[in-house]
Amino acid sequence: MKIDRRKFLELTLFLGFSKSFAFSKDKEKERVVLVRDSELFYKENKIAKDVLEKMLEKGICLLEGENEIEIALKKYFKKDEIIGIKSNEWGPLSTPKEVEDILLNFLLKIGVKEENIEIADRKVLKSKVFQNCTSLINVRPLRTHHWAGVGSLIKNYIMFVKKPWEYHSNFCSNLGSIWHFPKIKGKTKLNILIMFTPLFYGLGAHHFDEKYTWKYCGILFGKKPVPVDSVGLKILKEKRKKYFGKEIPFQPPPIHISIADKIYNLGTSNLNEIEIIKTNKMPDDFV
Amino acid sequence: MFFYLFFQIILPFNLKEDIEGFKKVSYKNYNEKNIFDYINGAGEIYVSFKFKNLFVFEYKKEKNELVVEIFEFSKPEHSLGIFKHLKGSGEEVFGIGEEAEVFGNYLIFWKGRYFTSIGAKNNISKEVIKNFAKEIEKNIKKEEIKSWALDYIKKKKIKNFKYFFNMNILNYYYYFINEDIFYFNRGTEGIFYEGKNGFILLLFFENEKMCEVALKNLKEKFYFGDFEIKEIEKNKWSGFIKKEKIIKIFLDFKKKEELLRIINENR
Repeated sequence: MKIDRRKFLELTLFLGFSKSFAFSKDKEKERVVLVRDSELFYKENKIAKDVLEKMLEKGICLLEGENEIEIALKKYFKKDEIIGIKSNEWGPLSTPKEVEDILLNFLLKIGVKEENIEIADRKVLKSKVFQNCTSLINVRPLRTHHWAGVGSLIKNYIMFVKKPWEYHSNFCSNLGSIWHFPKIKGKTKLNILIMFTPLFYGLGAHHFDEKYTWKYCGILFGKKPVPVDSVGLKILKEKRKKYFGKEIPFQPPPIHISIADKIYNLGTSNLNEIEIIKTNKMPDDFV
Repeated sequence: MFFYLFFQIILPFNLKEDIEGFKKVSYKNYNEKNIFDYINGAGEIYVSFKFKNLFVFEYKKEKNELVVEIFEFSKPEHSLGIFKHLKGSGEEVFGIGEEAEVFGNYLIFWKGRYFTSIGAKNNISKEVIKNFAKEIEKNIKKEEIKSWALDYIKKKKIKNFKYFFNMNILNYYYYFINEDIFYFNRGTEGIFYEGKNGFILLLFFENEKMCEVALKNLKEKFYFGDFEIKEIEKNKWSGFIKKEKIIKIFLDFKKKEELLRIINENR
């Protein structure tokens, strides 16, 4: 796909940064749920598992408009399914084990067999569960990324290809295409973006410095990846503005998100078209 | 044991077992094919600067750890390029390598064809990290840079610039198009820096013919058409001139008059 400068700038503009785009009033908004809890961490930055479990329950329930987690989950998953939980094991900021354990238990509670569930990141291509799965849960922490702009839910599926570097060109612009692979298309029921301590700025060879993370104590939920990523991006953007005292553009801009919207139809990146439902209001939501 | 000795022999240099009281606990080696196993997507940066090998040493002293990453390139120009790319707004350090910078818990420097990054876990003092770096650079040979682009910029006495030879990296600094319209794959070198009133991009070509074709590409694919100066985006003026084998492109100037003045000065 040819992208010249004007197209590039247009794609950057579509990254939910501008609220000036009109939208059709008849078009139904895409729902994203934000759950935060100031008691997520206790001494020495340990995660309070009971608090986390309630956060995950709340988010999934609100997404479906249900009060009980099992009823909400049964709208997505049947007990005879084979389910892959696509996690992320990037060293400095990986998907917390506590999140993986709770999601696993949720599925077991609704009768999915343990041998039909697997949690993986880099090993998905070698996993029989993932290769034969009927449903996927996509879960990862949000962070800035030196080459893609941000490490997003869309980007999380790069491990489903044999040669991930083939998707690096033009700042990973074609990541959305992976979501249309026959073994993946239409199977992702839940997208969960972990916002416990997001990385909002990157420096240096490894791009990680704890100084540029902060305790947001949140989780974003959605059925499609682009709306969730767009809300996450907005939060990072506002945090950067607050921290640096001015707007610091993402470098590079994460155009893979707007391309995933415009070309690959993975949801809207226009914040005007997203309904954000919030619970447990904490200060500085940024959305 | 055999593999350990084997790697010690084939390594272009050998880091001591003990530096500043830190003991070497591991060694790993990566190349272009498996760099992504180590660095993930950001490995693309090093690939774009044509790195050849990565040597990773871990050192420990009680609870403190240091990770030393030494990237080997084919030429010193490439290690300079990656340094300039990763250099941030940290503290410049003198007396280590050709150039060095420390920020947070990292120190980076380049010397010869090697770029080194030293990352500390836990609170290790900057002095310790600097001494570590000094010890490492003793193993690295100084090499002469043979690049007319870098000679040119040195004569202009411009210190804060980016140096590259790949369209991906140029697009990182200032997005043009996802096509190699400037023939980086045939030896073009690029210098990019921020001037007082806008950005300046200098392209150095292998020969004048290539330069002419690249100029034609620039005019067609970057909206100049028949104009030397144009308002490419609203309130942002860009222009270019060609001088033998160099194209100078001036980008995003706020005032047309200022751009005209700079272009005339550069004729």
